[in-house]
Amino acid sequence: MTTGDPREDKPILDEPPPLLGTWPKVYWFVLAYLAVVIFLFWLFTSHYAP
Amino acid sequence: MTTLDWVVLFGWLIFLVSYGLWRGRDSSSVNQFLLAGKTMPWYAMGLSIMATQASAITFISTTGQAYVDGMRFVQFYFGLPLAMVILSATAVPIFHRAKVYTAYEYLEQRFDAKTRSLVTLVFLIQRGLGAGIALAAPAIVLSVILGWSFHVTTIVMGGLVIFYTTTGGIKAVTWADVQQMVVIMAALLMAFFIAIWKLPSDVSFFDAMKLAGAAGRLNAVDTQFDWTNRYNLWSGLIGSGFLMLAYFGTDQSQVQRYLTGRSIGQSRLGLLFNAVAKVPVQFFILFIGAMVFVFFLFVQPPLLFHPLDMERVRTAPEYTQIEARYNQAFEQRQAAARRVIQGGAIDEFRAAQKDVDAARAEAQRLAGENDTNYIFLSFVTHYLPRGIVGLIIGVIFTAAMSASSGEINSLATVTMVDVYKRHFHREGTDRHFLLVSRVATVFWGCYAIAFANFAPGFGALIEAVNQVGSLFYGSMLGVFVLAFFVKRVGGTGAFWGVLLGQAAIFAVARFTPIAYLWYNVVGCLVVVAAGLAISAGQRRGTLYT
Repeated sequence: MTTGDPREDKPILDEPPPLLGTWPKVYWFVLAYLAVVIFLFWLFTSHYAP
Repeated sequence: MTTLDWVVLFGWLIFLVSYGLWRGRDSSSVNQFLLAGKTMPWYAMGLSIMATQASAITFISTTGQAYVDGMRFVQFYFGLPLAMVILSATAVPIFHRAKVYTAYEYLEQRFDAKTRSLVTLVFLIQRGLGAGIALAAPAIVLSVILGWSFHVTTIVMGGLVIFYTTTGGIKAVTWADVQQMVVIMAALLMAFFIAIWKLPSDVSFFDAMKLAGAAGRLNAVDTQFDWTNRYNLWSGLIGSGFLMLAYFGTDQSQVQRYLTGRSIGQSRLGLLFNAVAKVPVQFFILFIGAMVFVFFLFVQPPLLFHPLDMERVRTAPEYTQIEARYNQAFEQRQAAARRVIQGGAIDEFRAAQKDVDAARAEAQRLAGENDTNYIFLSFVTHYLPRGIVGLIIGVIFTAAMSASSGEINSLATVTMVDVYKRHFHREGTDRHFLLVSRVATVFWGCYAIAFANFAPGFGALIEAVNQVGSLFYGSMLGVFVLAFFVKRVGGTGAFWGVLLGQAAIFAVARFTPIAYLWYNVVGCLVVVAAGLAISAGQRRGTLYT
């Protein structure tokens, strides 16, 4: 495509995350967060179960 | 709706469309129109991804689901953070480095043209159906609430979508989504506080929780494994995990969002923002539905929430008897609810709830459809202050437009890049391809309006959308798993793998009672297994011949 497309020349940036230093640490944080959220929902369900 | 509500509704519509157009005013090249020049910050991508997924159907249907069935639907979103992490580590850097406009362009780089064309076709069929449903589903409900004809509602919504999507491209879509999500959250918070505030003075928030729990409406997590149960912890983590991987990893309506990021890191942050925010947001929306249920324990709701069905059922000979049973059951349930608050047993309350449900089921049988999608809007239009009603209806209106614009924009992108440019017109000026992108946007917008006008009645609308997706996503995910992780599988293995995976999904859907979320797992596994087997067979054939 003769588009003068700027993405052809633009370098692909892969910077580190703003928190926790590396991306794998961010991923583990998100997974731990999910586990905590599910556990809290389970406590919530158990507490209010009829 | 009062005059103030209409002013707020139209003011919001005009503001949102104008804002989108203003932000998308410099979309004068293909790269700007389709990828926003790769300049988007993470928060705009993140909110836009959330807005596209959280369509009007979410607000209309999810709150109603919590009212009738409890909060177990939240488990559907448990797979989303898992999928976001996997995609941030794999698809995001791969697609960025491949410098593609669409996910399907990458399949030709990795496999061959026939695999790209096949998956493009699967996407166009699947997303084409989805675009029609995304417009039709909320239009059915809004037309009843606004008193407009269904055709006028779809044409107004679809016309506005075509206008700002064709003019401003993905920039207009994304920035309109950002405004949309902010106002949606504010409107939902208002609805929540008003539902609590309008409870009788002797019923506290904690009493409300106790009553919702006693009625089985706070059932957020079910750890029992069951293939036929749509929503439990396992179908949420595994079945929905596969669905989310497919949706965010292979569906151009989502891939295009994070391809607009100015760097790999910004795209990852946009996805991970959703990973963290989405589950609590859905929990909150369902919790509003549970609180609306408690509100209606003390304020008698209509027998049916669908106003037109209610009028129709009123003329049936059985109506008087059903209404008398319903009124009696409501009184008994209200009295039993007060006893539960004072520490009494819940058996009587649950028995009265069953009687209320039975009377409503009888009325719904006469009406010929369930009224789940009208519950929240009935609450909004009857019990929220003037002005706020207009704002919430407006937000639902534009949420429908947001989901639809994202889908139409992605359909147009795939049509231009993977069909027109790939097969019909490989060389041309930027101006030419920009024009084709705009024409494709108008075409898909008109198609969505036409499809919406012929759409059949759907039950719980969000499930209809997800079920259509689950019929196709498994095989699409399978081919990308092969592309990313299995280097020894070539184009022929991937191509036949997709066809076999699609056949397996249709067979499971047609001949087994397995719940739809599992179709994604089945499809993906069949594509991977078939791709591996065919490629191994090809290699053996090459060795021995």
